[in-house]
Formats: sequence, C-alpha cells, structure tokens
Amino acid sequence: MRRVGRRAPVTDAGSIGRLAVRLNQRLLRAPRVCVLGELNSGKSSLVNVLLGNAVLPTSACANTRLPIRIFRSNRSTLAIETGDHERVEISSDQLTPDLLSDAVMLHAGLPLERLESFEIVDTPGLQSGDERLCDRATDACRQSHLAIWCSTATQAWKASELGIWQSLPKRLRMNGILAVTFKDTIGSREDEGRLWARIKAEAAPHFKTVVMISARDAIVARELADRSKGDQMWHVSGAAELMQAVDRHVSGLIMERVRGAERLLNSALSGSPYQALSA
Amino acid sequence: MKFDTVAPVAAASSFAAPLSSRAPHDDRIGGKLEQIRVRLLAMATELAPRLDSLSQPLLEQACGVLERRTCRIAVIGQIKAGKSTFINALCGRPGLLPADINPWTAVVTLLQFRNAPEPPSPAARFAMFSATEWSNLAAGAGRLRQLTEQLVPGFRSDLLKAQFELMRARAERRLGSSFDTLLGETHAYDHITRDLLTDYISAGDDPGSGDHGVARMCYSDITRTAELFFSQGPFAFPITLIDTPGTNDPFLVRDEITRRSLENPDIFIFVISALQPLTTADISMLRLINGLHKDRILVFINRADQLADPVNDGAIIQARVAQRLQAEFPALKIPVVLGSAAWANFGLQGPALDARSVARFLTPALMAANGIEVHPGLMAGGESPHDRAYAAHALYVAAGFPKVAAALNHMIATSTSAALLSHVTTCLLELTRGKEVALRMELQSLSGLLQARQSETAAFQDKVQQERKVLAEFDKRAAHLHAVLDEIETHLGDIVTKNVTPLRAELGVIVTAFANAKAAAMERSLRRDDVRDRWVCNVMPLREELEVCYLRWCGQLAAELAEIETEIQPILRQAVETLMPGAGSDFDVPPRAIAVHRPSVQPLRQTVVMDLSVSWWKAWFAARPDPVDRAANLKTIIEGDFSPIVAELIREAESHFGWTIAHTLDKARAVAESILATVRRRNEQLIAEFEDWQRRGENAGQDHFESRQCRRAVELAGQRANLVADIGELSALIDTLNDATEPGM
Repeated sequence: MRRVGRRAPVTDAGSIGRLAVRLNQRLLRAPRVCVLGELNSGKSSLVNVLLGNAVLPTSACANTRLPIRIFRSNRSTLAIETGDHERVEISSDQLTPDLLSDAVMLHAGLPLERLESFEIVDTPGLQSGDERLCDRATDACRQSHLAIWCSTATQAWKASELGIWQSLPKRLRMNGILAVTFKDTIGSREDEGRLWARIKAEAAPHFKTVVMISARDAIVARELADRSKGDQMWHVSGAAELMQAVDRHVSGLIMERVRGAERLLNSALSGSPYQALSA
Repeated sequence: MKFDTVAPVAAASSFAAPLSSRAPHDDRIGGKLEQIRVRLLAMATELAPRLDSLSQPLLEQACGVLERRTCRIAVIGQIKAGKSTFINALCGRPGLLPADINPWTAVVTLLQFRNAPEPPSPAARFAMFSATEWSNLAAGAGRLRQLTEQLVPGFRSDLLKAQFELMRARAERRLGSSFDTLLGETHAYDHITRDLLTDYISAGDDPGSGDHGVARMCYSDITRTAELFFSQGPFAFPITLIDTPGTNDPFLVRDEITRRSLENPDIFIFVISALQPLTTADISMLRLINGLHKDRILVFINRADQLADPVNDGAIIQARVAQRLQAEFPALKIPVVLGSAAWANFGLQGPALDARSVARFLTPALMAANGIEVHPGLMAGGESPHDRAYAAHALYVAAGFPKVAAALNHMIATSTSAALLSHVTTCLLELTRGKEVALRMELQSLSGLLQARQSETAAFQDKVQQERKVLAEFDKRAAHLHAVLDEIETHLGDIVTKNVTPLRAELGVIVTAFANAKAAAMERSLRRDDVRDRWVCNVMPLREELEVCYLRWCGQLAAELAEIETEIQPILRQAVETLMPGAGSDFDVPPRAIAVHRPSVQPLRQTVVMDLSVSWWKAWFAARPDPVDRAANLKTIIEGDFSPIVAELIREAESHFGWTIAHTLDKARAVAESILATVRRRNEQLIAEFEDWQRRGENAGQDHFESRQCRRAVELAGQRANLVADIGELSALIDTLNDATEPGM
C-alpha cells in the first residue's frame, strides 16, 4: 500500500482539484482495525464488544474460518471476495463451505453506529496448523491500519505469539493494542496484579497500549436493565478502557492523515514538485 | 548384595512377600507389572544359592535393575497448560506443586514414588548449578546462544542477552552475599512444605512487583534439579513423575531447560488446553518427542472447566484433537482424554468438599456424559457428608482421571520398563535352564552308574576308566569351549564395527541431500519473492528420515546378531556331547523371543538452529542479502548441526550393541560354567569314591559307596525339582509380559 513514484509537478487548478478530491476520499475512508490472535483467544467476542452487538458467533468450537470485514452500510449486505479480488454479493444462506474455500475475505455491511468511526476485521485464529487460514489472517492484517492482538489471560503471551507479532509490519506494531482477554477467568485481584506485572515486563514493550478485558462481562453489562449498574460493570470489564484506546489510536491515525493531506496540499499549492504519495 | 546364607532374606524382605499373602490383585496404577517385579526379585534371591559362581554377577545385575528401575513419566506441554496442577491431581496431592497465574515452574522436578513402609529420607533434595555451569549459563554460552550465534555470527541478540542478564542480576539480588557459596551445593530436607517448593522451584516474583510481604530466599534461578521422594502414592510400580517448566515460554532460558530434561522417559503425558487445543507449537513438540515409538504418549486436554459448555463443546474438541492426531501421526495410537485438573483437585477433597461451590459444574448433562448416576440428595443441594462425598466422586470422574489411570496402566504394561523386566526374566530363565540341564545330566549319569554297579563290577570298572579318561581331557575341552565363546564374541563385535561405516555414510548422505534440497528451494523462492517475514525451515522431516534409517539399520543388525547367537546353543550342546557322550540330546533349550532393546535416539531430540522461530531469522536475512550466499550458508548450517548428531547416533549404536553382545556372552559363559563345573565335580567325586572303595576292599565299602551315591542322587533330584518349578514360573512370567504387548489391548 505504499506507492513511491514521481509525479509531474501540479500547478494547474484542475490537478489540484483532483488531488483535493482524492485526499478527501482517503480521509473519509474509515480506518480498518484488525483483530488478531491465536486460536480461541477471544477475538470474535472482542469484535462484538467493539460493535456493541453480538454479531459474530463465539463458542469455543465455532472458530472463524475466514477474515470478515465489517463496515458501515445503510442496509445489511454480505459479499464474498474471491482469490482474484472480485467481490460478489451473496445472501447468508448461500454461505457454503465450498464457497468459502476459495474466498479470501467476507465483507459484511451493517447499519451500526460504531462503524462510522472505523471498520473491523475479525480473523481466523493463528497457529491452528492450517497454513492457508494463517496466511489469510496475516494478509488481512497487512491491509489494515490498526492491529489488536488478543491473548488469553490464563495462558497469556507465549513465545509463538511474540514471533508472529514481530513478523508483522512495523507501522502496525508501533500503533498496536494488546488485549488480554477472558479477564473474568482470573481468580483474584492479586492474581490480576501479578499477571499485569508480567505482561508489563514481557509484552508491553512491543505494543503501544495494553488493556485487560472480559468480553463476556462487557456484553452482560450492556444488557442490564439497571443502567448505573451496567455502566459500572462495563467499566470493570475493561471494555471502557478498550474503547478509549481504540478511539485514541483511530483519532491519532486520522490526525496523521489530516496532517499528511495538509502537507501535500500546501506543497501542491506552493508549486513545488512532490515525490512520494503515501497511502 | 551378598549371596551368603544370612543376608539375602533380610535385605529383600520388604519386597519379597510371597504372592499369596498379598491382595490377589493390586488395583493401583502399574499393579500387574509390580507384582511381576516383586516376584522376580524374590526369585533372584532364591536362585542365588542354587546357581554357580559365574551366574552371581548376572544375578546381582538383575537385582540391581529390578530394585532401581522406575517407570519415568514426563509431563510436558506449553506454559500454563496446567502440568503442575495435573500432577498434583494424578498423585492425589492437591496443592503439592505450586502453580500461579504466570508461568511458575522454573525447575525440572522429579517426583519419585517408591512404596515403602517408612517415610523417605530425605524427602526432598535440590541440586544447584555448579559455579562453572552457572557462569556459562549466565554468560549466555548455553545452547540457545550457540545456535543464534551460528545463525548470525557475531550476532548479539538483545533479547537473549537481556534475558540472561536479567536472570543473573535477579539471582544475585535474591540470594545476596551467600550467592557464591550456594553454587554447587545440594540441599536436602526431611519434610516437604509449600514454602520450600516455592523457594526452590517457582519462578518467583520480581522484587518490587507484588511480593508476598516477607522476603524469602528464592533459589530457583540456580536450582538445576529438584527431587521429591514419596513412599506412598497411587502407583504400585516405582514411578518417576517429571514436571517441566513448559515450552513456548517467551523467557527463552526456561524453554531450553525443558527441552534438555526430556531424557528418554518411558511415557509422555502431553497436556494441552481445551481453549487452544493442538496449536502448531504443540504439533512440533509432539513430533520432536515422539519419533516412531508406539504407545508412549497420552494427550490430556485440560481446562475443560473453562469451557462454556464442557459437555458438548468438550466432545467436539476431543473429537477434533483425536482426528488431528490421527492425521499427523497415522502410525500411532495416542489416547486422548478430556478433563480438568482443577475439578480433580476439588474431587480429591472428598467429604470436605464445599459442594455448593462446585454445584454449577455438576449438571445433569455432565453426569450423564460420564455415566454417573444422579444422586437425589445432590441435586437438591444436599449438604450431608454423604452428599459431599458423592459430589466429590462425581467431579473426579468427570475430570477424566480414572480414564488417565486406566490408560497409564496399559501404557506401563507395554513400556520400556516392561520390556526390561521381560529381558531380566529371560536372563534368569536361561541361567536356571542351564543349571537344570547340568543337574539332569549329573543325575542321569549317576543312576546309570548305580545300575552298572549292580550288574557287574567289571562293567563298573570300565565306566570308571572312561570317566578317568574324560577327566584327563577335561581341561583341554573346557579351554576349547571358552575359546569358541570368545571367538563368537569377537565375531559379533566385528560385525558391528563392519556395519557402522556404511551406516555413518548413509546417514551423512541423507543429511547432505536434505541440506542441498533446502538450499535449492530457498534460492528458488527468493528469486520469486521476498519471503523474509515468514520463512522458517522445518527439519522434522530430516529427523524422521534419519530415525527411520537408523532404526532400520539397528533392527537389521540386531537380527543378524540374533541369528549368530542361536548358534551358541548347538555349540554348548556339542560340548556337552563330548564331555558326556549321550547326554547332549537332552540339552536342547528352545530359543525364546527376546525383547530387543532399541538404542536411544536421544541425539535427534537436540535443538538445532532450524528450530528457532521467525524472529531470529529476520536478522539472518538482513545480514545476508545475496541469495546465493544465503543458500550456501543454509546448507552449511544444516550440515554443521547434524554431523555431530549423526556422530552421536553412531556412538550410541556402538555402545548399545557392545553392551548387548557382552551380556549375551556372559550368559552363555555362565551356562557353560554350570555344565563344566557339574561334570568336573561329578567326575572327581566319582573317581575319588571309587578309589576309596578300592582301598577298603570290595565288599566292605560297596554299600557305603552306593548309599552315598543314592543320597547324592536324592539331593540332586530335589535341587532339580526346585529349578524345574522356577523354570515353569519364569516361563509363565514371560508369557504374561509378552501378552500385555499384544496389539489390540
């Protein structure tokens, strides 16, 4: 997604206009957040929390088989992206294993408010032994702007996770979030403190932000009738912290883009040639 | 062990209780094998006075094996899979080995179970690294560092070095001024306490990050091994349970410690988490430990209690794991048990269990799935001791541990330990048979002699003349027999030596071919696109190929040697023929299938450069931009790593077969000695008596002579009867041991 090339100096109003339109389109494009992790690390549950809705199936046996990109759209749509990057719209009852085996990604449009700020990609669990699934997951990740790595609290941060994380592009890692999931399975506050200490020492250096979250508690919190209790539970579950972190990172990314766009426009308006167009 | 008249019984008393006074069937794990072991020890003691002097060292050796042998069961898996908690549940001692939310076991811990009436002393023993070992470790001269240096010479891995530094600094901080004196020490204790184990085995917190108040001495950074001793447990057979720190640890030093600890256990219990069953890391580990050995691995899917729906999800997960194992290792039968160490530890509390705290687990579905009858009081939330005991029992069954025990029972019966017992039994049988034949011969000639006596004096005198002649030639014939046996030994040794060279060459060819293929593949793929981020070289196929070739060669050699060994019997028979004409036909010991020990393939389990993960490779790629250079370097690395491994395999084979040959010949010599000694003794005795009789005058001494010979005959018959009984029993034991290894059990 980086193109490096020389372009002709932009001097006339028409070209500047076209440049401005292009930059605007790019700014309007919602950043893509990719959720990664090893098998059963709670990615789909986390995505449900981010969406504010239980959209994805989450049992230990319902493992995601295909990256799913979820974006904002006025009506619910489903499209499948094939190996040659063509998108074909389908209905949910057309989802068969055969169809999925050739596909690279599923695109689901949902009319959810949350998706106005960012898109989300849920990926298949890594280290399952299925090379193709793992490749799809990492490819999906490379096409994203932000990455969240999920790691289960009870078996947190293994060497294999570090290995995979380090093989991802630096731009993703510098802005990465580590979500330690299944927080509700931690026995005591003391244990939580000890785990936190270890994560801080061993994992935090590789991420921008670390949060601990219980997706299950978060979802329960949302559905409580008593709102004040619900809000408190939402906070304790770590979901509030996660949302804040995601918002912060997304805003940071958008500001970076804005600044970049300004620079380009300024240099175009001042008539000097530019050399790189970074996407 | 001395074989005089007084000592043996006392020394063996704790083991040699006759079978009839024990329970007819020991229900604990390994019970059947233990019965056999105990009986064999008793028999070895009984046989000692009945056999000759050359047999004694072999008997002592057998006793040594029987007394010292334990069945080694290693519990391995990734960090936080639940290994320590599993071991606690398996040996019925919840809370024994400390566990924590973070990876906690830092030291390889051996739990030695050996049934005895008194508690063991010491109860725990901890050996520290020596000063040299420690400074090597801390300076990062460990294997992992060697490997990374090999990968990128001059490569100073920040991560690795930082971790070693951390460990050393931490150890020095924790142990303070006594640090230097502690190295090289061994500490022993008579009581095991929780604090003790935490101090020596657990990784411990970093100071200032949530200590438990009181500052404790934490030795785990410098503890090399920990041994805990128990004189009671759920095991009948002597067992060593091995707890390991766990693989896939981002703290690389502990990862390396685990790999080094896997020295040829009899059985592996591989613990995985139900939440992340059989990841790529698990499969690689399984490949590494397994090779082609059947019936040595049990997979336990732990943490079923953390599934949202343990019954249905659990069944699906178990089926998937079994399927995957079948696909990855089609030649093996790996039992898979789903369960929960946490539940088992609850269940072990028995009537003390707080049933309310576990009521939510004991759903009707769970009970039904495990074949447990629903107890009305339980379902109504009953609180009586009976209800609690029932809940505890139900939880223990649902935890999968009875199934684990059953699987272990079967695996122990077919393990290397069982094969070893079979080997010992065969040895005892051969010695006993040899002696029995010798006695039989003596008895026969004695009765022949007495018959001759009764008929005619002249015939008798002829016979004695014959015997005199035999005696005169005796030494020559004895020397000849020994010479033949020596020759056979040398011949067998030569065969081994002769075969080693082609094996070495063949293994070398396999390595070179693999290295070339990988180098070529790398060059090709580099020309296509940049694979830097994901490239990793899998050397498991190379290990497998080497193992197949090695074991096939060893099998062929063993068969060749066995064939030659069958020639030993006819030689012994011929010797008997010449020494006692006519008696040779009785000396026919039918050959028995002897369990062939396989030489160890431990050298193949060493970590090599290629086992390192992606992150190390990035640096390698960066240091070598030229594709041809990379490919060449790759080839060098593979060959450089595997040449010493091949050399070790060869050494292993040579020493293994050398030992086997020596042992076989020792047995043959012992049998030969039985025969020779018998013949010689009888001859000399006979001739002496005859001369004595002649001196005293014909009639007077006749009855004396006869009665004495009769007494001797009776004595011999009695001894022989004992030996025949022993032979019968030993044969039955071998049949039992061999039956256990039948497929389909």
